[in-house]
Amino acid sequence: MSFLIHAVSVSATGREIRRSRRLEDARITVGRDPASDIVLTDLEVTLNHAELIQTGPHRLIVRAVAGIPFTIDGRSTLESEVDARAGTEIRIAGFRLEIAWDEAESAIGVTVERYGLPGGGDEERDERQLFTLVGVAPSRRLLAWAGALIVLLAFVAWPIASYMAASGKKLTSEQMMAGAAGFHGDRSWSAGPLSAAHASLQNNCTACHTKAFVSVRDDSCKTCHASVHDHADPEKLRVALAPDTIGGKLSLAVAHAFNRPAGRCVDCHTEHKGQAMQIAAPNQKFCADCHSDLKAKLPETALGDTKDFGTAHPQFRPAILIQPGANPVFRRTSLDAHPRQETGLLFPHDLHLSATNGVARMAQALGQVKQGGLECAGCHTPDPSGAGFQPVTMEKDCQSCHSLAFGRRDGQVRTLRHGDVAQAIAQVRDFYGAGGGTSVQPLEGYARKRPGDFAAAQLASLAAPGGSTGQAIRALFAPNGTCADCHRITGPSRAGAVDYKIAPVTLPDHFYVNGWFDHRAHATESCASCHNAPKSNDAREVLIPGIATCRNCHVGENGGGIAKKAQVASNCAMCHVYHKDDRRGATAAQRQEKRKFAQPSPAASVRDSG
Amino acid sequence: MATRSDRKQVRRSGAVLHDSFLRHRNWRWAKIASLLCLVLILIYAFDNPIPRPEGDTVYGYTLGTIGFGLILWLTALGIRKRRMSPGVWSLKAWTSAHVWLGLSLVVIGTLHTGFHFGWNVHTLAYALMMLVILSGLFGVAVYASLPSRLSENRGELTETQMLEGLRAIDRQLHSAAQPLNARAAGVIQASLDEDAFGGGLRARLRSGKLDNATTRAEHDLRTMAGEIPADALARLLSLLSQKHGLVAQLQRHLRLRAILEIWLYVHVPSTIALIAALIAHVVSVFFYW
Repeated sequence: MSFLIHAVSVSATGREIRRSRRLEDARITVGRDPASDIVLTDLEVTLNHAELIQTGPHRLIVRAVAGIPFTIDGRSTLESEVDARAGTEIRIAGFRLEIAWDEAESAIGVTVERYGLPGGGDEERDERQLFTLVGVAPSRRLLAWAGALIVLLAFVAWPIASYMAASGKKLTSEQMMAGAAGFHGDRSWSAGPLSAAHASLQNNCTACHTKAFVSVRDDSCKTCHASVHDHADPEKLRVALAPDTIGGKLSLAVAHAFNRPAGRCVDCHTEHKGQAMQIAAPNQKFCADCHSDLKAKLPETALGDTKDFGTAHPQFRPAILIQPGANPVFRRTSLDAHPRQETGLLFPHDLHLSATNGVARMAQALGQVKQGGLECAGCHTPDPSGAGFQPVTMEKDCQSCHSLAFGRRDGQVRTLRHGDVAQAIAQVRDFYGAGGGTSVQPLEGYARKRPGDFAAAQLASLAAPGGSTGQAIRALFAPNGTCADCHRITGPSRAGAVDYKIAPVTLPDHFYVNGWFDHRAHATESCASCHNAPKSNDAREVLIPGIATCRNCHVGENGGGIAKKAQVASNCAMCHVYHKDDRRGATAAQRQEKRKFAQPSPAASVRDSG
Repeated sequence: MATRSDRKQVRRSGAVLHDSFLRHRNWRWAKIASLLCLVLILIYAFDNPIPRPEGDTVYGYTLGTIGFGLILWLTALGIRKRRMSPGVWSLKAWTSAHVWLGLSLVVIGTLHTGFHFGWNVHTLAYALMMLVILSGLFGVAVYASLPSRLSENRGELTETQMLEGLRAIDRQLHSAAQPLNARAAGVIQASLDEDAFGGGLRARLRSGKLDNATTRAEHDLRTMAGEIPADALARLLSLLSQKHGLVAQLQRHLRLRAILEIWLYVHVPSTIALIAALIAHVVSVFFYW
């Protein structure tokens, strides 16, 4: 009845030390109590933890005393019977008790060994890292790779996938305007909101960015903007656009190297600058780049150099009529040359606008004005758009005063046909011939007040007491006759003939071919503040105001120049269009359409105030 | 003459004592970065691009290129600091330039945006850049203030000594607790089992009253005074009190070290994410050119 106890410990140098002792007893105690037969110095072990009781030569019972189970061959139990020859291993807290039959000593051998150290496991960790956040915080490397991967997937792979899915699908302008459904990954690449006009393309990058790594070309714009004209002859444009400074050449070379050819629509119409950005109203710098020294670059140009309306803009060169008629001839002439134009009409503006003369009194008598003289609007009617004026016609604008009535028969007033000399002569002949010399009374009431009635009275007085038809006709075309009030008359070719001719009349309805002017924007002004009509005594005078008049209110885009009245910042696009229109088509009415797109910002203009 | 020698004197003594990387070579990199910012701001003020200043003007592209190059160079500090060979520049010079030129990126990056932001990859890159700079600023701030507190808290102890001290107390606690009954022994065992380094990131950064198995053991042991031999109790309480003090000191140490380190867990990953975002930014610009 004996146990052989082997206590195994490890020295500081790692050497194993075994101490053995023999206990001649059938029952030995195991516990933390120093009085125990086997002392286990582990605080998880109770003072009296277990006991080993020998029941036969090789057999023993292991029993937990304090009710705390132990582990035997891997299972937890409170009591177990063991055959020492078969051997077994008991674990109590951090100790291992190996039981084996020792034949030589004829005793039950119990090897006691510690397998866990108190204060646990620090040594297993790298002491250098113990004080750092390694193992406490997620790995920096992992965070870095994960973050980079997420960014690359979301902002490179997804947009490219969106591009691949959308490219190759050619959309019509209607489809583009309808907008694209869903969220496209490439939207995250947008550098900023599109202008209001292009807002529906916000989710449809490939509408303009058709090819990867190829800058936006004009073809994309032309999908919708099919009727936009070029600015000028492409060859002239190329010459004028060629940079002449080293910086400009360098910039062009870099742009070329990066596959960004110059002269594209987007050079001026920059996108992704926010909804408020007026994409169609480019800055005057774009114009001034070429036009400030265009003469030097393009000597054959007829255009004067300009870079700012307020400080550097040539005098206006309106189209001046130099030959009226069915095929009128105009020539653009600077207002500085004080051009005169022969419209064929005798019309002194001062006479008609006087507030005190006979014309004024007649207008009052006719009820056209209550007091004073005629107003401009009496003859000049705005066109439907309001930008310009309807043509002045005899029937609409002159005849209410300048009556062509020449006689009365059977209660009917006879009126000469205007605009046809032969017809007028025939009318006079018919009147006198067919009437067999029926007496013609001067028109009552306004006789001798209106120029026409005066003529009719003359006709009548000449014809009535046996005067001939020929005399009546000659009186009509005489220097003091009805027609000569307004027209230049030539003829007759020989004495007695009646082949009178009236000089052709052409009244120009607009003077500017490339620029435009909108009267509505100037509604706050009186006509006379720009047009010197009240002092014009000759119809040949050109009453179009010069640039000095405009500069009373208009300054350059950035405030260049000195304006006496207002300070209206005026860029090039306020009056000019960049894209070349059909010349005669560029009338106020058609510009109306363009104005919608080329409106300078309201803050910089009085256009909207009217 | 006097002033020059004075300055020399100051510089020499500064070099002898401690020359912070911030004021390296009499603020050389702070001056260079400030000058750079000033020049860039002046150019920005006098540049008048059409229709508005942004990344896609000539100056915008220039700023973008400078910024990207600078970011890549700043990132290279991570490589440089791992190489012990001094090279042309000392690590201190390199760090000084890293901090000051990194700060100048606030100006370069912001001018590059032209003050236009949106929900897109471009602003993402800007936001990440600012995050990197702000976390770096935090790092500079804690490096300026915490090391003194760290050494003050540590006293004469090295980290290894702290660790050894803790183990020694644990060993003594273990042996002193041997006569204890199961309940009292369990209380001591809990103190021995508790890992002073455990509790995760939050525990590392948390400050405040110390409440752990050791303090609880101190308290519990007193309530069990009747069950424990008086000499053992006195010894255990003394040991627990020592351990209490050491653990508190260790945890203050760990907290300061964690703060000194935690910003790098933002700074480094967001730098890598920033480079990814910059790649996306540049790809997007040229892809939809």
